[in-house]
Amino acid sequence: MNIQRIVIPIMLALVAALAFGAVVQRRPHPYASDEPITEPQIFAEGVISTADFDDYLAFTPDGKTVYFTKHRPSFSSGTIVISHFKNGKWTIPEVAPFSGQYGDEQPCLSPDGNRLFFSSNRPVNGATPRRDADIWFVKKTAKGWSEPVHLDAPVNTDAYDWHPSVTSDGTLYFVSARQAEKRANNIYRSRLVDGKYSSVEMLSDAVNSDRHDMHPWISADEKILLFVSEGRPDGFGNDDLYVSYNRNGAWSPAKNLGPKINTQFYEYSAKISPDGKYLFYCHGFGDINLPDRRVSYQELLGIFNSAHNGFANIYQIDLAAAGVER
Amino acid sequence: MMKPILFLCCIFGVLMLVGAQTQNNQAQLFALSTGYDEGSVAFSPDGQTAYFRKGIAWTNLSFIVLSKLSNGRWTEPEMAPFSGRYRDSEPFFAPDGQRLFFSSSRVSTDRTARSNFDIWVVEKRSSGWSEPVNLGSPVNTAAQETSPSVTADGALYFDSTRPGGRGGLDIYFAKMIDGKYTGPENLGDAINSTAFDANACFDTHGERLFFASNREGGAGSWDLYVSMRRNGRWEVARNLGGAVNTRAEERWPALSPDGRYLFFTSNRRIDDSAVAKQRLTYSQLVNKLRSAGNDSSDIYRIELSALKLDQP
Repeated sequence: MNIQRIVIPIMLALVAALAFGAVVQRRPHPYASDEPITEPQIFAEGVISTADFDDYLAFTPDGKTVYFTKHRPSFSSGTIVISHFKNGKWTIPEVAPFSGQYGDEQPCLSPDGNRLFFSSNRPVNGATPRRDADIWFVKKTAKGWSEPVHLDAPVNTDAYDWHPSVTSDGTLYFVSARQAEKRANNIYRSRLVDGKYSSVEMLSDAVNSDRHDMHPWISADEKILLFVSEGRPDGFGNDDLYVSYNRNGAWSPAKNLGPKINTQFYEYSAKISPDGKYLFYCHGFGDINLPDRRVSYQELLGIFNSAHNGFANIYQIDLAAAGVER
Repeated sequence: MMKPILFLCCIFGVLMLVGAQTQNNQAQLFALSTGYDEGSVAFSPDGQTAYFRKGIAWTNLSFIVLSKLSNGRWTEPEMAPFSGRYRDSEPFFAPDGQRLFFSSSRVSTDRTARSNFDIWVVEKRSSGWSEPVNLGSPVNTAAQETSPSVTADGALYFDSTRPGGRGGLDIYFAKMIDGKYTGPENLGDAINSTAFDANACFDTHGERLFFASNREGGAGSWDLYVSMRRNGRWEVARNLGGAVNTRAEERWPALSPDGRYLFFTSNRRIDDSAVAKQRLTYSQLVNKLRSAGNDSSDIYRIELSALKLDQP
């Protein structure tokens, strides 16, 4: 046997595998775009961004599964649903195995994808839904997601505790209305120490204000904090998105993401995609696409039945175009 | 062989009667309600045409659409000829059917901005409705004027935030004398409160006044109230109670032309057990989110007799 007759095909196969790998590597995540996305672009219109009130998106680390929330028209009573990227498109969603009965929203995956946190009004004991929301999580098991686990005090209280986001070391960022009488909803942090969340601290006033400060998203390395604040003097109307950077343990003063992102309507729940290249966020509450002339009833129904009907949708933009430093 | 069938027929008949009985006593979803925002219905005097508001949540946007009764069914709505561009709502037929009043912010070209509502009117012509006319002073002011209601003597009742009220919205009336409206007067303490009081609706004799208020002491944010005119004065209004009012909003009372039904608008959830009996599938979820009862406003009706009101 000539050794070359074996080695050469193996080498060719290796080169082919590497080349193929490079192609896969170049575009690993299904939401990635070949073209730059320099203006906000509606995400997966018709499947994920629909005529319903669709918001609060969370990708799995491989970007191939997305969890998001569908609300009633009044923005209450969410349900968490899942879509998978298969055969080049996002599948018709299904209700998440742990959702579909109570009001669940704001799904958030741990950076390793092994835990999914969310907020819910589901009862901790008994059968009556809570009047407030608490933070829960499910764990990945061989058979799928575990039953939901309720986080103990001091994370959850009798006030609203919601909007979870978690770092690689398990540090939980969330929103609580526990001091609502003094301030409003504010952003808090709890460190995971020996597997427990045993204390809670409110973030500094570089981030928090006397208005509602909500929807924190913390990067896995705890360096970037995206959040929402309501009606600040430097805002563009209603809820706007802000960014703050962790500079050696201190938060930089919150910076408005600017008019490319923020509008007179509501922008909220921003996240950086798992590949670190895109900003995903929600926009809506009144932004309807009507022509400036008389419309017929059929035209009106067509608009009402589209994603451009004034409810919320999920948007995508290049991180650089969104003015977030990486 | 006949006997069991007869027996079953009797049982069925009794059930039907019982069913009809409970139906009569409960508010029913009216046919024209969908997953979008419907409300504020007004019927032509012959009962054959319904005008109502259609919009969508969060946009501050609504149009007046109409539907016709055809072979016992309400037709697919169409845009009212005078609507479809600006924010229009709260249609109301004059008792003779010759004029249709409505509220609109159409002085403004920005259809989504919160702008000033006035009361407008269209008149019936042989060719259809006239162009809308703003009622002008003294009815319309720089404050909000909404929810017109007209009695047989031509008096106009409406809501306004004008200065001098009890608080929020109050109900006012302007008499029609020599073809002109007199200076509007506040309907007074029997009806108006420091909260929002709105959407006046009278029975055919003008002796009974239905309206909506978000005053304290109700079942929820907005409830329907009724007051009777006794010796020329409105008695203190009372809450219409649990047959109509829920913890959701009930507003825009309207009577059917034959006086049999009270129509109203509510954003109540049809499946309001707060907890579904079992987990929903995605198609069940989407169906619930897009159907009447999803918590966008819908139109309901109830037999007036079920309310057991005092006789005028």
